[in-house]
Amino acid sequence: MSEPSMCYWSVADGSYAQMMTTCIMSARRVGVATDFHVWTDHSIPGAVCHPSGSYEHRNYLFKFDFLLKAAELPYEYLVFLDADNFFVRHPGRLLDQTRDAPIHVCLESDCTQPNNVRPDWWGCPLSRYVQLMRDCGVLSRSVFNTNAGFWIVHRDVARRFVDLAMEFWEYCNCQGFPFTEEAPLAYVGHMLLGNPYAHTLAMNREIWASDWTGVFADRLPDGSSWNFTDYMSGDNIPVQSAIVHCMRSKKAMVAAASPIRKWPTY
Amino acid sequence: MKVFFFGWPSYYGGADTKAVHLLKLLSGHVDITVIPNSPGQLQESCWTQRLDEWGVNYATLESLPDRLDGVALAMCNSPFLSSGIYSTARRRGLRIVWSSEMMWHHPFEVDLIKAGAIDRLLYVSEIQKKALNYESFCDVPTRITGNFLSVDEFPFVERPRDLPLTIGRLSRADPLKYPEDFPVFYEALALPDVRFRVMAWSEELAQKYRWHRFDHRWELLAPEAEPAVEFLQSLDLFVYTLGHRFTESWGRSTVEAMLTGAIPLVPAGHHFASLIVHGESGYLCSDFLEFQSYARQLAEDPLARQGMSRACRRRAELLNDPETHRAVWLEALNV
Repeated sequence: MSEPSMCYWSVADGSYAQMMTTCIMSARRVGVATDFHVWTDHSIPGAVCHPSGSYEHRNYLFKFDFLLKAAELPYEYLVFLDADNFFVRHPGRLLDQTRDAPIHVCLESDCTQPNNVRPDWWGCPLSRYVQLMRDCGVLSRSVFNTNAGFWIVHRDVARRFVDLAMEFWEYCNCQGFPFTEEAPLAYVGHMLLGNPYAHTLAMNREIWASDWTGVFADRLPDGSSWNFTDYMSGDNIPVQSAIVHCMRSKKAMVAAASPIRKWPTY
Repeated sequence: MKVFFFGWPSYYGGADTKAVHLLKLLSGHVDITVIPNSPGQLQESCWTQRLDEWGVNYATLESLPDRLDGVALAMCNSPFLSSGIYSTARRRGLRIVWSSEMMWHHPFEVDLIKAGAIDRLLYVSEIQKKALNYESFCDVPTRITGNFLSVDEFPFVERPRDLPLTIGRLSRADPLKYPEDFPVFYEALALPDVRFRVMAWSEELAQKYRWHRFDHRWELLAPEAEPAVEFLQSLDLFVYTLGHRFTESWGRSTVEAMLTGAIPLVPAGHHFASLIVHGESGYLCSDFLEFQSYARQLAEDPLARQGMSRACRRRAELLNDPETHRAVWLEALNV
């Protein structure tokens, strides 16, 4: 059976276009030759750029709209990256992440754990979040959250993916919880992954992790191992991911887009 | 007692399959006439022969005397309501007994019940009663009649201990019945050398799961590609995950599978706890990891698997005692 085709894609306007430039440069630097498609209002070196036009930024739900545009591209798998991702090494066979599921969503914290120290996610009490997921058909004992900086979708499931995501979002909105794109993304993960436990961060830490605590704050990741802190429990696990979602390094990402900027060595 | 059954038996779909076994159960105890929606069905010799064997009459409504005495029974027969067949039956003197069989109301059902067109309403289970809740809007008497399977129709087959497992499912080809992750869920169980067999597959299901590469392990059979009993006898495990918007009102194919010796692994909830003794005659699973753990245990221990397979048969036989079911039905039809 032939290897399925894939591309990276993103939506990046304003300063995010510069971050995307850095993201793609970092990918090329470690030998990633895969196509990048970006919906943007700028020209981004190394990317196939598509006009983003004006769109509603609220709650980041635009990602789902643009997924349907990306699904028209001639690739079987569509790998979404937020602009503030940085490659420190080649991620290898990225599609292995899907484990034959039509999507991969990196499930992070188990919101059912009694030892969670954070009581809520996006203002929703964890017990309520779990109940919302149950109401919409999630059966797994563990119910996870996610960070929406990296996910993979097979183009043939894109429409269903978006429908499920928006059904969940609408339901939560009616219950008084107008989530960002992350909760519906986590929901779709639970519905489409087959074995959600195979898609947790702990099981996939060599590929991608989100530096939400700012281990690399204001600088670019250097490829070293670092501690990922579980958003809910506060537990630490060591990670050395090929792609770092350096969400606390946005200024450094913008600055690195300049050709005279010195990049870290690793 | 005279019963006029509005519908026609079939080996496909829960309600029509139920009709086969119900007619057999009641034959010889009540005078039954089967009235198909379409006169052409009276030419289906495979069914008329069986009805003849059971001493069950069959005819069009038009061919019967103008004035009738007895009960009109319809199960999941939407045209019975929507095409006004109920009205003709009523006008000719029959009391109307209606069984939805589904977890939702059929078109016109609620309005007709409110208008007094139905004399008795049947439920198949408590979970269906909770969903349909006729009591909330009418005072028509209700009964829970459950589901009867003639155990002789599903002979037990001892599964070989030395072959790789075959897992699969049989259900109406309704995409709502299938979970979003169906094929990847099966594969993620990660059973050694496993085969997957599914009946009844359809173009609509193929479209729903077009993202999946079904490899050599999969056999996707069209509806009635094999006799249901032979298909179920080919399965070691009946793994019956369901769509998130679907609630199984009873679980007929699960009990059919158990009769043949297939071990059910089903989601918790629905009506399954009334059918399966967890750990003895199958498993009620609340999580993917439970499905996986039980499936692997069964894969690794052929002796235990054979023991549970026999227990499934015994449990299903217990659920289908004809005397008990007949008494329930005769009371329910005594309107």
